[in-house]
Amino acid sequence: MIPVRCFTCGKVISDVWEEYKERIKHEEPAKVLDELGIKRYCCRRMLLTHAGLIDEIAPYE
Amino acid sequence: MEVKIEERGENEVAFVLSGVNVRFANALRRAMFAEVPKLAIDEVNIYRNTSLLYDEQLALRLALIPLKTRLGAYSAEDRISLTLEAESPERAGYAMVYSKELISSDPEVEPAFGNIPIVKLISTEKEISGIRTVARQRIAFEAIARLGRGSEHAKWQPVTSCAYKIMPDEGAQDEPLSATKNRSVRLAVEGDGSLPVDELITEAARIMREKCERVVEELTG
Repeated sequence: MIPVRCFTCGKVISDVWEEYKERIKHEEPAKVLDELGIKRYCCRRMLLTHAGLIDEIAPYE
Repeated sequence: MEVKIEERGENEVAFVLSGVNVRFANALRRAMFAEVPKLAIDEVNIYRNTSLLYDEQLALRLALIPLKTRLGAYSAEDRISLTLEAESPERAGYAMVYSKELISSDPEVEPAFGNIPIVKLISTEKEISGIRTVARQRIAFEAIARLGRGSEHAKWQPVTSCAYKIMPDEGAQDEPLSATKNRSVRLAVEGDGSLPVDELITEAARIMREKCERVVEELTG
């Protein structure tokens, strides 16, 4: 699960995660982040480096 | 002191205070961080949680959701309950639970962002000796929000990034920076969505004034 807020500044970033994930399939991540209003590099790394692992641990519950 | 607004966004504002002491700008910044009250989820009664997140993780995620707060409308004793019940689909698949699904006891208190994923509920299909079964996940809880201040916990902090920088003075480039001299200070404030930024700044200023007045009152008897 994507963290609700940015670890460093506290801005809510999880609300744009799904749109971001969809759009980077055929768009440049930098452009998508700019358009979603994720300005600071602390918030940008939250989305850029997130790996969703919930589906991978699901079978081992 | 002069105030000039430089930039204004939906949830952010940047303004220049000229002819002020840097200490004053810092006091205002700290008041915004730590003194302006807002609502946040503080307690969660979990009735059922068969999701992949532990109860603690679920409660932590809930606490970080900014709730829309009307300034002055709530007291420290008020409790607002937000309930949610959700289950994964009947067949194999998943259901994402979003912050907009929280049902509030106060129609004015709602998450500032409706699209925050709280948890992903997954249904898995298994075949055991020819019989197909679907394991479903379910959550049911009541979250209780209360009024708090940023000085207690960061979840009650109404600002995210809130910083100032000292603007260069014209014709005084070689002068060393001094904390006591009046300068121009640019304050950039970004709210977390629970309060409009303008209200947040004026409330911080009001709290500062109230504190100063209390000191004067005490001293003059």
